[in-house]
Amino acid sequence: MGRDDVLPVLYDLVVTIGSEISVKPLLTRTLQRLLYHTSFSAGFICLDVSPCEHEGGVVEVHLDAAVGDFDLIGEIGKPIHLPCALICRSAGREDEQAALLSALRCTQTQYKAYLRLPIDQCGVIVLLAAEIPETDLPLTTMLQPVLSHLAKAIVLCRSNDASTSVLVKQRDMLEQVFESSYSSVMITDDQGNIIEVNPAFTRITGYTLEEVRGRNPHCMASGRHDKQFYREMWSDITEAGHWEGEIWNRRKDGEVFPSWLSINQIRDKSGKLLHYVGTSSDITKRKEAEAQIHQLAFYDHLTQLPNRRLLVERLQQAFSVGTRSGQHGAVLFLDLDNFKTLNDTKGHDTGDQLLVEVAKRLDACVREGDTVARLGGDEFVVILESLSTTSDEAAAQADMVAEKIRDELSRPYQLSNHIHYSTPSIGVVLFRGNLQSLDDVLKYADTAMYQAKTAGRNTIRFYDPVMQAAIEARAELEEDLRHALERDQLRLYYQVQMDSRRRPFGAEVLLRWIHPERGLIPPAKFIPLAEETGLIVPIGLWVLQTACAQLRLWQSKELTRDLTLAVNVSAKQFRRPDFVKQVQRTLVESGARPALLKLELTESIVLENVEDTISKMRELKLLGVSFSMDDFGTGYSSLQYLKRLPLDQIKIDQSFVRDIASDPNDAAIVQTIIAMSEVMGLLVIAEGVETEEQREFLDLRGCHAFQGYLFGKPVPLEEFEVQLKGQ
Amino acid sequence: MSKASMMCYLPGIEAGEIDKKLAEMQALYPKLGVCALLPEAEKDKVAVLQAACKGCQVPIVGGIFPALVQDGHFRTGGVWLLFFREMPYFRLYEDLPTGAAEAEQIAEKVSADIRAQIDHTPDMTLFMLFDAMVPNIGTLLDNLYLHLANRVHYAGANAGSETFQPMPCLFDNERVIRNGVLLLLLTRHKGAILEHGYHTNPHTSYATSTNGNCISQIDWQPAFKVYQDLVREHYGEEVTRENFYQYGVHFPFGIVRANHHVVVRIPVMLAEDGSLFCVGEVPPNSVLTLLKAPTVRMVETLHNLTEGLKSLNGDVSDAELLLFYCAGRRLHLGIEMATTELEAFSGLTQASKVAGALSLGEIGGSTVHGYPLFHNATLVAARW
Repeated sequence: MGRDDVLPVLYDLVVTIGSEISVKPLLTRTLQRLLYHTSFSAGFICLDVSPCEHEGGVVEVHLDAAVGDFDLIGEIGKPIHLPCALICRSAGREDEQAALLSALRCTQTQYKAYLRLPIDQCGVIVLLAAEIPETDLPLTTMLQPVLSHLAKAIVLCRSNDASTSVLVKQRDMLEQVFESSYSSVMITDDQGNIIEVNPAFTRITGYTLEEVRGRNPHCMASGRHDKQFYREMWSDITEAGHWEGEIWNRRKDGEVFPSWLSINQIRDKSGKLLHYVGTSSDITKRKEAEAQIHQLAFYDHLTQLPNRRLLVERLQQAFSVGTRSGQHGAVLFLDLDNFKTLNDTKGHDTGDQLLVEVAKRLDACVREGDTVARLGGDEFVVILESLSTTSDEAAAQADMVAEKIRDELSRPYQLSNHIHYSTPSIGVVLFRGNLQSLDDVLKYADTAMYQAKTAGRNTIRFYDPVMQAAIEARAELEEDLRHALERDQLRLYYQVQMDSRRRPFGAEVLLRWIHPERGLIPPAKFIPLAEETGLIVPIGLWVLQTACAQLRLWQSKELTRDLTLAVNVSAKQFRRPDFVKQVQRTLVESGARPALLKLELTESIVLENVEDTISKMRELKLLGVSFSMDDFGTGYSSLQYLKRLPLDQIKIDQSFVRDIASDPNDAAIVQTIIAMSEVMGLLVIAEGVETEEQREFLDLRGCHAFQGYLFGKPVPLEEFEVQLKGQ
Repeated sequence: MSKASMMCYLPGIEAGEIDKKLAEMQALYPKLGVCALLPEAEKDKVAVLQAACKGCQVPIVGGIFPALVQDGHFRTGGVWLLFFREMPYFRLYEDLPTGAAEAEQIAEKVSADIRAQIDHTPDMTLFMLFDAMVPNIGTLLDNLYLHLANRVHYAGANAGSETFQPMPCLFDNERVIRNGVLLLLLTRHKGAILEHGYHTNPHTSYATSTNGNCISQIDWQPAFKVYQDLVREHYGEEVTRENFYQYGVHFPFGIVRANHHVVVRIPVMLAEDGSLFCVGEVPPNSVLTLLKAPTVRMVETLHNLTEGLKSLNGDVSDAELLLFYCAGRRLHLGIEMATTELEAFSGLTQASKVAGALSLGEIGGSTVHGYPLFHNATLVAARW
């Protein structure tokens, strides 16, 4: 290289240094160019060199750059101890320095020559060669201006690196947020063309960046929103710089999905619009959950029909509509006849099948806009709207629909593997506007339905106020009955039982309710109510306890010592698993003789579950308790079961006794019952004996025990005891 | 047992012949590996080679060149099978990036791959076959050198079509790729010698505006105008836009290195604005000189090659040598003179075999363990 080449070399170095904005490439490229121009084969740069303390000592430095030597490159960034003589002196070019350079521990090349170029106060450049390259140029002085330039460039590059590092960290963080965000992010240019999307966008929409870059987001429009929707959206964005709301878009695979979208404008400091940023999240799952919650809250799980809650809402709406239009509406209250029997005999699954099928048929019977709801069990309600403004016509319209429903629901049902026949009882009530309260309308419809049931099922009944009053009275009675025991309003009446020689051998206890306001309430009025409500269980127990206590009291008196007491047992009471224990406990607690206690069972109790009945009867028989079959002859009276039952007595129902003298049929039945009892070794007693004629008839045919008005009405205890004494 | 030849030229590429040769060599060297050199005319036979090697489970790499060198001849048919007793580490990188930052990244990755293979073996050569269509070979070499420096020797050549039409030209057992590089890390190998023998002109200029392989300005003037002036001034020839393509190969540029070594750059294309495109990059501010082809000193070139080989490897007589001969050089010298040069090389070195190819650029160090440079118009020789 000649003197003519000095300026181009300096020019090249200055251009190289000026081209870099970061320290690492600045040092590496400068070193590369220096090696190129000087023909040294390798070199390194150390920055921030501490001053040497001893002339012959070493100084700890870091190699900030190294070029041309594999070993030195491997030391970049690590601390290394180098002789002060190599690092800390002024610029110089030395040969025959193998010993000094061995401190570098380079294995690939044995360096003997070096060129040291201090970089002002910043550090030092050391170039290395196995043999010193020949040159007649004063390299150290010639390169001095370049090194000063390099020193300033290092300061600038370090400053730039520091600020870049902060920016890079920020960028990396933002990028990570962008990349890892669960929400979809889409950035467009100021024209609304997509320029960037994040992975969540791709996950949600199915589109990659390449597929949507440069396209308008409208390419994902679902078609569910009209122009007005988008006009309002853009109006918000333009005026407020922001829009947020629910939007339906279309995925790449064509699926339309709901998302919650937020669009913001991004402007520079001068206010110039740069980008739009859309952030959205897929709310499909939320929507599904909401729909599910709505379904659960407002629809019946089994039939998918509206439930009571939604029915009430729809009814309120119908009221409002009716108020405005003046048109009538109707509520049809349906109940399936004998549904309980199906459930009990075929199981709930079959019952459910029937309900589902009924729901379908009902739905098919009404117009769009009418409501079919299931209240629970086998109760359905249909709301008919927009009927005539005149009540007569409206009633006719409602009746027509009700008839249609009755016909449809009476068609046979294919349930599992059998054909089932069912009929509905339908109660109908008309309404118009808010003339009646919602509760009243439902209550009246319910009442009418009961009326239909009472009328023999498979019937349609319109609401009748008289019937309603009766139902309400019944409800009040039920309420009073709930408190009858605690208020000590129940009493036991005793009806004497006698033998052929008119000697009392016992009595049947009969329950009476003496109401403080209503007076004596007949058993036929409240016993069925007690059965229905389950109150019969505590009442039945009270009867048993009272009867046993009475037996115990009577034991001390000669007149009453051997009297038996017949106590009626209800089905609900008898079916309780602890019934045997209950009787046992009552006997023990009262101290009554079990042999004097006679439990009267009805045929329906016995036949409901024969095995359970036999088992319980046997246990009680072991205690000494006896049994009587009440109302014998009125039911199926299966002889087969009768034979197996550990009965003591059969009671001939009063309905046969009543016409025993005049009706040959009844006479024949009674005769058969008596004969059969003899065969089976059972005692027989006739109830409802009111005349001597009847008594004689029975006595002659082998029935020697009687109960009835001929001998005495049911009377309170005191009266009964007086009656006994009179006998 | 006499030592088996590790170089085999097959004039026809037949599966049976290849199988036979592979079986023969595999019997001697169970871990056998192959580097195959194919002439462009046989490019469709790569699959035959791959299938044969797959059948024998022998790893294979290779390249497709304009022609092959076989002792004192250029061949446009057949195949060179260059054997390794044990296949060295190799990698085939496809679609090399051209951007500066990406080139740095790939060089870093390649260097990391190589560094992982480097042990205490003293002499290692990074042998590289590039697709000649890769436009930034010089930059990639620069970046590799920043990481590997003097730990390896650098040698190699460029494959491809002499028409400079893009063509998949590098392969391994499975792939045939383009725009890539095949790297082989040869152990106990002392590198290659590279010579061109062009004489430098004492007049130098500066490439004041360059971009990759395009020189826009020389001495702050349009490059083509300066080129015309230099040819006229020094050799009395008038270069015009029309005859430029005939002159370029005879009046190439030389990039003058600090140690007076010259790297040849043949201008091959002229742009509308007077920019000149060369085979190989021209770094900014390069010191340029104009070279005149007739002054190629063939004897000196061959002497330097032979002596260089001896200084690297000791006596090379009876050795098997690898030689890449620049296609541009052959174009300039003419086939007859180029063939003479080949014959002379074989004779001078007393090599038992000379195997190689006509290359589209060559790679060699500026000195022993020196900077890898991308050259034109050179011969690269190495012991196999």
